[in-house]
Amino acid sequence: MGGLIPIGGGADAEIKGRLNAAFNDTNLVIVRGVVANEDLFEGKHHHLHRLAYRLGAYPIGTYLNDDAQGKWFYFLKKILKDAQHNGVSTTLSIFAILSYAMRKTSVKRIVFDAVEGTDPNVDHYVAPDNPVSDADIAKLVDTTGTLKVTLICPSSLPNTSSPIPDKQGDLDRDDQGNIIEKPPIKIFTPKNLAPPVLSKKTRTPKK
Amino acid sequence: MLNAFALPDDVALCGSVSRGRMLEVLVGEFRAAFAGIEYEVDTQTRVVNAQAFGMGGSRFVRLYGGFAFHPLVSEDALVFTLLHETGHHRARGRRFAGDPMLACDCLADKWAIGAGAAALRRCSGRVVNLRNALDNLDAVIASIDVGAAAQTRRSSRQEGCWARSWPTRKSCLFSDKAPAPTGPCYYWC
Repeated sequence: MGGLIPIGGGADAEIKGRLNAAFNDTNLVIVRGVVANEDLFEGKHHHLHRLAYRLGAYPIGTYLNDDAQGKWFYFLKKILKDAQHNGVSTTLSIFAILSYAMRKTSVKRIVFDAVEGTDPNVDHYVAPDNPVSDADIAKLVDTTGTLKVTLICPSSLPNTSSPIPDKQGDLDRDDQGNIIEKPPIKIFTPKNLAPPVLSKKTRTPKK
Repeated sequence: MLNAFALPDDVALCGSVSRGRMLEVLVGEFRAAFAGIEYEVDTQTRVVNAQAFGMGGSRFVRLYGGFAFHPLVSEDALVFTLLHETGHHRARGRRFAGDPMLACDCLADKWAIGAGAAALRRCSGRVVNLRNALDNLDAVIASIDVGAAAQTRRSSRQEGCWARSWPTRKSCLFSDKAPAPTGPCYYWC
């Protein structure tokens, strides 16, 4: 959001839109309810690509000559998993932020954004420096209860794809190999997170 | 910026001294006219875009190198772009449903050609040639992303926001007949 030209033909906006919808005022409460039964954001055994799948936070739009969905899952499964900044894993920082949002009721919503970084030789990281402590994460929350997560990107995603992670081999498991995912496996679908259809007359969501 | 379009290496950027100086002057004028917003030109990237964003309590407008130094982008296009991005921060009213810190695109556009252009003119005397700016942007957008244009045309037909399609956006900006937006913006821009 805030870009002059739709980024990636709109793929970035779709990803951000679905992420923001998954953690908006209403859905954050639903996710907290799921976390009470399964600690989705503990960060050791759960994986970001699985969580994105379960949360419906992935693009389903068609973009000319671009597998935005496959690239997004590859990014979560491979690139972000290995990314480090300031001596901290970016994945760990994201899990810490999401976990914080689950615990602190002062957080009313999470807003995601992505900005091109000025150094193309660093990994992806969460601004300012991959925060993990509650004190550092608290600084990302404004007075309205919005927790802003800004991902700094050194470059555009490579043209490498991973399939949608709905296969049995992709399920999150504990150290003993036991499946730790509990129902609901699909917390939201991308359709749940789509913008509402607006009334042409009032330009507000149709009832 | 996960799927950002970067200008191919075989397209030469406009890296002349005069271009650099012009950008410095522009950014200086915007800093003077719109205090509280940090204006940046990212010279290290060939990404063709500009972006308004908030981070750590600060508000930023950033021109990416592939746009700031794009051979098709004129001074007027840069001014309009900086005004539009500033409008995301300064325009009052409708916000993105997904990011309440930013005004939506149609509001940012309306602010750019109205209050924003007037404030800039008062502060620096600069006047933007809107037709020239939009014709330039037309050419840039056509050259980089045909898919985006098709996608946004479909979306705007379905959901009725003029700012979702570059042709209708351009036409509304020229005619000044853009309907006033109300409520949160659910469009993904």
